[in-house]
Amino acid sequence: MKKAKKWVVAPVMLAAMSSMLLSACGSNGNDNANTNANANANANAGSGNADSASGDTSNAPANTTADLEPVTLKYYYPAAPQPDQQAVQDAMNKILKEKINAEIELYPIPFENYEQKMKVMINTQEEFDLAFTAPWVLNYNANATNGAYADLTDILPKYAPNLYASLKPELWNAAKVNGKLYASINQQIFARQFGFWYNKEFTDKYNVDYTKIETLKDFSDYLLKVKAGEPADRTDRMTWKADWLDRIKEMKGWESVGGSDTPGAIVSSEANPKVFNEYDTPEYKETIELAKELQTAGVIPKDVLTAANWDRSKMFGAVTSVAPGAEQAEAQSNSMKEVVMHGVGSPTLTTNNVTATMTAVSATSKNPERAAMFLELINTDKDLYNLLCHGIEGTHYTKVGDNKYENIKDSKYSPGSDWMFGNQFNGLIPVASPDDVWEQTKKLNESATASVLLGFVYDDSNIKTEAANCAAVIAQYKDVFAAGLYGGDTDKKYEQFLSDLKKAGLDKILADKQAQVDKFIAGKA
Amino acid sequence: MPQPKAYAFIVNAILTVICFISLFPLVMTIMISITDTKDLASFGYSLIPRHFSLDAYVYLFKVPTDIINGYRNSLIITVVGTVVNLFITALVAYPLSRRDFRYRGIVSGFIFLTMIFNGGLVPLYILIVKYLEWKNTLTAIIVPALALPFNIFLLRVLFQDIPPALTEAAKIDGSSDWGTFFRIILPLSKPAMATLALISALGYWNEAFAPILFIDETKKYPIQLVLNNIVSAVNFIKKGNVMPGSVQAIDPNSVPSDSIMFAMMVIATLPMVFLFTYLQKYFIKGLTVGAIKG
Repeated sequence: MKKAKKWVVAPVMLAAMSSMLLSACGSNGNDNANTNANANANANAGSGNADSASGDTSNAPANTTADLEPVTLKYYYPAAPQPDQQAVQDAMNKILKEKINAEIELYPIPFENYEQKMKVMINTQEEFDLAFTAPWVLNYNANATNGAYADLTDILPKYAPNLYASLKPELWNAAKVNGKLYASINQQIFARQFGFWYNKEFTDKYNVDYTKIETLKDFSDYLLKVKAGEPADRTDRMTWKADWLDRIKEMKGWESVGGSDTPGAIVSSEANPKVFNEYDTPEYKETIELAKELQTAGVIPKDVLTAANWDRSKMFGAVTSVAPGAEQAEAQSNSMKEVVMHGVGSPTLTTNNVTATMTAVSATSKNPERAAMFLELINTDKDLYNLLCHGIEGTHYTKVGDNKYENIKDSKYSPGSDWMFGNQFNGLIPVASPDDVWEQTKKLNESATASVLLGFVYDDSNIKTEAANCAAVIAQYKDVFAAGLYGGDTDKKYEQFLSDLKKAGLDKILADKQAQVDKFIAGKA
Repeated sequence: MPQPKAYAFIVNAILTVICFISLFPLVMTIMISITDTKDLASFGYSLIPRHFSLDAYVYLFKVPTDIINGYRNSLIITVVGTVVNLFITALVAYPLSRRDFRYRGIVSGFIFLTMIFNGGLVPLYILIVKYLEWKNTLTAIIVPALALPFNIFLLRVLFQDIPPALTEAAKIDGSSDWGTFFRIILPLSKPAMATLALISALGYWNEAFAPILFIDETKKYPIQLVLNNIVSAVNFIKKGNVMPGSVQAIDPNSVPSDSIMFAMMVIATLPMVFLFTYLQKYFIKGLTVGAIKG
């Protein structure tokens, strides 16, 4: 046994060791690169000041750099730390030092650990200044309610006037918790619209007009058509298990109240919305039937729920959220030549979409004003923002045309998450995206209709037990329904599912949701 | 009584099966780590790779500074931690094993208490970060695990197996208490110490939770966190951006994502495999030396 292990392990170890040796030479090169990078950044920062007048903090009342004490701001966000993190931080500090006499310390924390780590830091009242927050990570509402974040209601308009003016008041209101603002919103796509993407090669081949596909039924007809025409070994990965059971809601103009793992939805456009059980609707039943048919026809793979690996390049289309530039992104991640999309229903603004990415100032921060000034800069100063998003020009990316960038191969700084840091519309555009992607996105945001519940956040503290029970029931059935795997038992199982939901406390949840929605509507009027 | 030959055959057969069961995951991990990722997507996992590929390792070591830093930090934590841990544990366990130490009941009770009740995460965090100011230091990972009650009791029991006659004899021959401890007790407990060293080293090497809490600076990450970070990055690339509307900077298909996870496991477990093979000889010795002589 001992011998066997050594035998297997030895060549691998050898490889590992030789790359270690190699790295000794590599690290020298690194240092050089860093110093060069700094020099570059200085040059950039200098030229940047002149043309980004809007980014100037002189608008902030009575604050010139000379009056400000030097401070250091600690900024935590979920991301994989990059090898050249320090160089980028130094380059950012050159700009920050000059404009607001502050220095930033960046602490990217790997995604998996972010929530856990920040929770402990918040609970122990450790001092830090800025943190990424959202409904889906480091729960914004819960933490704001618990006093983890500093109240920015007055600070932000005063110390970050341009940032504050860049968004409509209704959007800021959407981020308010108990009437107070606790975080700055990163401007980006707010409107959410769902639809389908298609591998263009096949919509062309089968002469399908994808712009006419408006329902799941139409979409499944397309898949069936392809299934009939293509050889069997090409059609074993046609589409995902499909979160369409969730997405029919958006396509019908519904909106779930407090997350889709508990029942309860409303129609976004109703003035006095009634909360209903979205799983107990003819539409939902129809979708389940459709999934069953697709499973029988072999369109949905039998192992869709269990397959460990999924060859995306074999897919023909799926449910997706539609946005400018998303076609290119989808094509890239699926290694396809061209992907087209068509949205179903109308784009909507909901609370979760507006507050999807935000930066909060910690309640333990000693300098919340300066943190707000940093937020102003990162949201208005293009040079600073692009540094944090893409690194140093020439070292980590090259500029293509006026407003596009292309990563340098094996770049040592590419966090790939510009939406996390600030106003995305100030950022450079990836080279594969359309030139006017930000314009299109802005237009989409403008055209979106605000949900009647914009600004409402559901508090599930009254029904925690029932919510957990229902979530368990839904988890048990939903994916199997979506994959159509119950076959002939589908009807029976559907009845069973509904009665299980009832037993799990459905009525109490619906009543609680209705009460909170009514209270919110009453408060709005 | 079975025939000796048949007996040996059955025992060997059982041992072979057990050996296979324990080796299988390890071999599988290594094999997957050197399989071409495209194969993984189309054919799933298999014991013998269809297309041999070191892409995963090439990707991991593309920027080797992180992994080397990680190895260095983990090595410091493990070596310093284990040595100090052994020393302290032995120093505490020895008096507790002596029948002539009057307060051993009370002291044992105290130590036992910490095994059942502990202050919890938040006080530990406050103590280390606010009072000791050990944030971003390796000390924060080493010190809390220096004297584990379980190890102390384990060693106490093993020390008690050494007959008191030996220590008495040493005393009569003029040995001091320290001399007895270092020249008689410790050498006699080599197998026990080796076991303990292995437990402790494994603990330190695999420690991932304390570094998540206490280490913010990337260059002080131990190997587990470096690898965690790489997986995190790979997952992020694979899943695509959380927000729609931007094409990624890195082509997700250029990253051998599936095999990276396994390559990482190989990299993270290798040193422990070597340590185990090295310490194994002490285990075997321990079996033969155990008997009391004279």
